[in-house]
Amino acid sequence: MDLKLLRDRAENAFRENGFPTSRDELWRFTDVSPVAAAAFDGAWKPADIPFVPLGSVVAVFENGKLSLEKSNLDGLPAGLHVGSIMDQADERLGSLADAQSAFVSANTAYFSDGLHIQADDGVQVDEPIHLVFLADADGMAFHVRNLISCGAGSKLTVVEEYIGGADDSAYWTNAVTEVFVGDEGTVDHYKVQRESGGAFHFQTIEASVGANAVFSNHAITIGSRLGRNDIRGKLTGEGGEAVCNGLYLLKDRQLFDTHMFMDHAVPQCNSHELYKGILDEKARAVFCGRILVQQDAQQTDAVQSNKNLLLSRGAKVNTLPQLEIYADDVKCTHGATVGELDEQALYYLQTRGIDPAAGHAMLTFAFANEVLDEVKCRPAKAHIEKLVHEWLDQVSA
Amino acid sequence: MKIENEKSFDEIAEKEYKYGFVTDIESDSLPPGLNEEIVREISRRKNEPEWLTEWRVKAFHHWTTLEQPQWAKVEFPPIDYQAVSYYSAPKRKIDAPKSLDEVDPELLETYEKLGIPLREQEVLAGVVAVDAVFDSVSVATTFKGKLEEMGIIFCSFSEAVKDHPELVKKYLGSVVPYKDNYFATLNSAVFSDGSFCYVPPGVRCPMELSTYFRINAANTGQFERTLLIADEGAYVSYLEGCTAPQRDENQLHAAVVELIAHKDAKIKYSTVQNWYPGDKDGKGGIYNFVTKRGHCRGDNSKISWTQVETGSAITWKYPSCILKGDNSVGEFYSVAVTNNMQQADTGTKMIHIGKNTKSTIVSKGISAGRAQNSYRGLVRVQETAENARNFSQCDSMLIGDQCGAHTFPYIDINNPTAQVEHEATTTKIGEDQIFYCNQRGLDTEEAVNMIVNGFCKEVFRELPMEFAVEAQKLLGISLEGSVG
Repeated sequence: MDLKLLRDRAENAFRENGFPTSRDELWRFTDVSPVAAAAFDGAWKPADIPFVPLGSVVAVFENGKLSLEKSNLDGLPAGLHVGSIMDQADERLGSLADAQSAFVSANTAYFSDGLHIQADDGVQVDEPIHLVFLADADGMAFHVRNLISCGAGSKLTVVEEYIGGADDSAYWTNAVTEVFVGDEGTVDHYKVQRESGGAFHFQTIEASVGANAVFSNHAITIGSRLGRNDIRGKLTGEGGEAVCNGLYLLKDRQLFDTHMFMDHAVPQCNSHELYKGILDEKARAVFCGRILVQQDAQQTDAVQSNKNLLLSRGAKVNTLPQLEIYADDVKCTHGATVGELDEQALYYLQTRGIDPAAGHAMLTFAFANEVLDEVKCRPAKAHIEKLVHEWLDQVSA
Repeated sequence: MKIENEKSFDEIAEKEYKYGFVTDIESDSLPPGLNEEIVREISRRKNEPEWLTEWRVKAFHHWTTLEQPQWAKVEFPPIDYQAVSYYSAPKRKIDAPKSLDEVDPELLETYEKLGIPLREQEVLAGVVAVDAVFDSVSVATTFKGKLEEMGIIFCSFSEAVKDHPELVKKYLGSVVPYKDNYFATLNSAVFSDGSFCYVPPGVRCPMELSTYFRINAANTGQFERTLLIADEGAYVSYLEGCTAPQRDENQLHAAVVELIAHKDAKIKYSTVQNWYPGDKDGKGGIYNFVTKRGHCRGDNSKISWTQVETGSAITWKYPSCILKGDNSVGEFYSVAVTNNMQQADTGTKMIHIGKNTKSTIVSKGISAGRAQNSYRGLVRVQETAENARNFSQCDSMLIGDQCGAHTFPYIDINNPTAQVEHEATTTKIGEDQIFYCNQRGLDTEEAVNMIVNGFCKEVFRELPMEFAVEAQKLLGISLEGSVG
């Protein structure tokens, strides 16, 4: 669709419907009125925030704008195209994420930058493409739009990392990423969110997965005061596979919401979701995972699990693992648990001479590590492990 | 593997509803429609005290401000609440019958067709007391005398209002307030009759109390109200079962059940629901919108719900437990079977408030034909509920590729000492299982029956003896016509 038309339509939808309220079933536990009430009239400035590149291809966005100076998009392998979405007309833009929510509508209507990544058919890139979104401009809204396109038989690894300044600046990141995985293609996608403590962070990731293709997403959440991930996958070709894992580490008065939706539209697809959360102080987590198995999607294998560890009084969890199944020859399971650390395990460690504090840290890391185990991209894994350790040290201190 | 005797299944599927017949008794009904005058008239006909009339009127006025809830995963045409008649009583011979001899013989015949040997039961001495409900007014109550000796009050709701107004006034609406939800509010305004039971402190009710509900009189909604109180240290097991005659018009049913368990008291509430589900194209059938809730008010109390839901075109029902007392226990065991065009959205709510409270949820959903079967449940652990424990298991079975099975659990945890686990699986009957059974000389339908009964075993073993046998048979009947 014509971009202008798309934007107009989205803007109308956004103006008409406004932000969701807690009367909306999908937003029952997440009150976004602070976002709706904020003015977002801040001025742009360069963001001077340190980061560690995870590979040689790095795209750095400074307060919402692609900075060619800080980025390295040269020397790309043949068949791999990376550039600003503003320079790259792609008619598929908006075909997956259009106006599902007020946030997607606002993004479609107002996005001003983002990254376009395309791997032509048969192009396999092992090195991760690192997208770094630096933000510290108080009172600004960043509508970031990314499009990842993986051709037939191609392979891509993409890491999106959102980093906020140390000053608790209050801004709003509103990102949308559309992912197209062609037949027999593989997209290994990571999202690391460590926004500032005053930030609002909302992102919708929409993926379409072709025949015998693999899409995997790992969402690691540490930052933001109020945020939400909408991660939605549609398995459109037989033999497709989707993995959506996540880890949220929350403290203070953070509220983070994850809505995961997996649509099995065709037969013989697999999907696996493992979401774990550790909550300290007065933090609150919302998890809603929905697996839809359509009538034709026979021989579906879907597993979903959400596990939460509560470290303190005042921490809260709302979890809603849902199955909606219209085909009979399927294997679907889901599970959810909430609790604190196993006292017997702690005691066992003590009998081995490990003091309670160390035992506590060990078991807490082990809890989180189940998600990290699934991370295939080595530089990303090392980076995430380090972040998890830092967070755990802060919590125990 | 293709099922070879598919033809015979179709024949069975087209079988008429086994319990489909209409008893020809003149009903003393109010004209269809709902307004304050109707509400007052119902109350007047039942000679109710003023406080109850006013309670009904308050509920009615609140109801007019509400909208019918839309969140359940069920679809049905809009209900015209003004086309329903809200009161129907079998015509009486001057006064209420004092013994079975005074009961309309045709009515007794109906019970016999339903397999409730009311006369026999007197002879059988104290196995089950039946407070049989025909449409909206209690006709006969047995074994009342025997229960009275122990101080147990078991009577129709209207009698309770007359004879024990202080108890009714104290407990009515204390678990399900009249403002609770659309259907409960409607029920509060127009409820016709139901059962009342009070078990005094320290008394263990010696028999299973039971009420057979039966919908009769065309175009009459049923609005039962059940109130069950187990005082300190008491125990009671209550059975509720029902069948309904076949008819084409949809019938509205909005019952309310309130259970109150005081300190150390235990209540076991078992239901077998087999109302007319509609024909294979979804024509007719009962709309069953029920609010059931138990309140574990005292420490160490326990409420256990067991339900086998095979009937109704639409089931909207969430028997719940509020676990207020410390160490109180809530249980929910459910089998919901939907076939043809039936829709069920059912589950439970477990609200943990007291310390060391425990709840168990075992739900088995079986969906066949073009039916939709959803589990919807809530487990909430409040800040105050130290060491709360919950285990939920929701299994679904799909028979055929046109049906749906869904699971919507809500888990809200506000206390870190809680241990909450939820598990759900979805399966179908394996072709290899059927093949194995065929090999052993069981035909496919018997095999399906056997496998499904095995799937539901965890729930059936919670049922009292009388019901367990009936439930297994019902399951077979409900699944007739579904292909394995």
